[in-house]
Amino acid sequence: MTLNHYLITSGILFAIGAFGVLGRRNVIIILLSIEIMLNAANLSFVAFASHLNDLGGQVISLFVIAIAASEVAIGLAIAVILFREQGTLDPEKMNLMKG
Amino acid sequence: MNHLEPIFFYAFSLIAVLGSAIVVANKRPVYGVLALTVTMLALSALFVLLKAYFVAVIQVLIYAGAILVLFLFVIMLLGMAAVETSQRQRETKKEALFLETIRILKILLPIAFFTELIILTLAAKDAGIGTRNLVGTVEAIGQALFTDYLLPFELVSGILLIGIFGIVTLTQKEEELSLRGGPNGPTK
Repeated sequence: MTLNHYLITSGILFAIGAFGVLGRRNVIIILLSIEIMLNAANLSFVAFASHLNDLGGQVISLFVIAIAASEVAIGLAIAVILFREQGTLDPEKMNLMKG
Repeated sequence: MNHLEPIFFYAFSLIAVLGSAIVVANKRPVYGVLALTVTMLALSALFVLLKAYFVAVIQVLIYAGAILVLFLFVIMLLGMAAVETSQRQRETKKEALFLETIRILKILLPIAFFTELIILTLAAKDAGIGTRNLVGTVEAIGQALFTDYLLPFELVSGILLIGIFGIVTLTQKEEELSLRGGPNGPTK
């Protein structure tokens, strides 16, 4: 399999994740879609590491996993607080700042 | 296993794309989390195909083992009725679709798991003699982490520490804050 196959898979996954972030109205599913996008980026990193014969891509994908873990923990904590304050997980109703 | 690689690649890519499509398409976050687990396992198998063994193991441990369990805990904490926002009305009409999704997941999960086991055993047999000579073993990754990437590695630990501080601060209740003389509490 060539690099292009992996990059196309990664692109499809990223597009699905972006669609989820933009199109769904549930904070939990938006966070799940962000995970899909991060994983698509990880797949690209590892594919390029293999293609370029350099371990750097794999090391950076480990960093991405670590950042994703802390991002999810904080995101879910914010979701819990928002649910306690507003009683909903719909981001359309979270307009306290009237943005 | 060179002749098997395209079959495994297309199979796991298809599983990953289908899993993430289910995450985005279905209405129930619990099913989304389970479908995302399937996606993670398939992606981990793709990492094995790329000979990134350590990243594949970390993918299963951290994502399937930690992050998705955290999602399930939060969904449990908030309650099933709470997390299903604004789709309650159309639920009865699409009940059959949800059951179909679960049925697909029941088939997908074991397939992803067992095929991954097969691919791992196949890959372990001839590790390092494939077309690619770059192998992401624990030894190679550790050597790169502690020599070339030492500063980013330490910075990541700092970010994790800041994340812990953030979560502890965020999840404190207001009474606890006011007891300590917080912004709204008694300051005298």
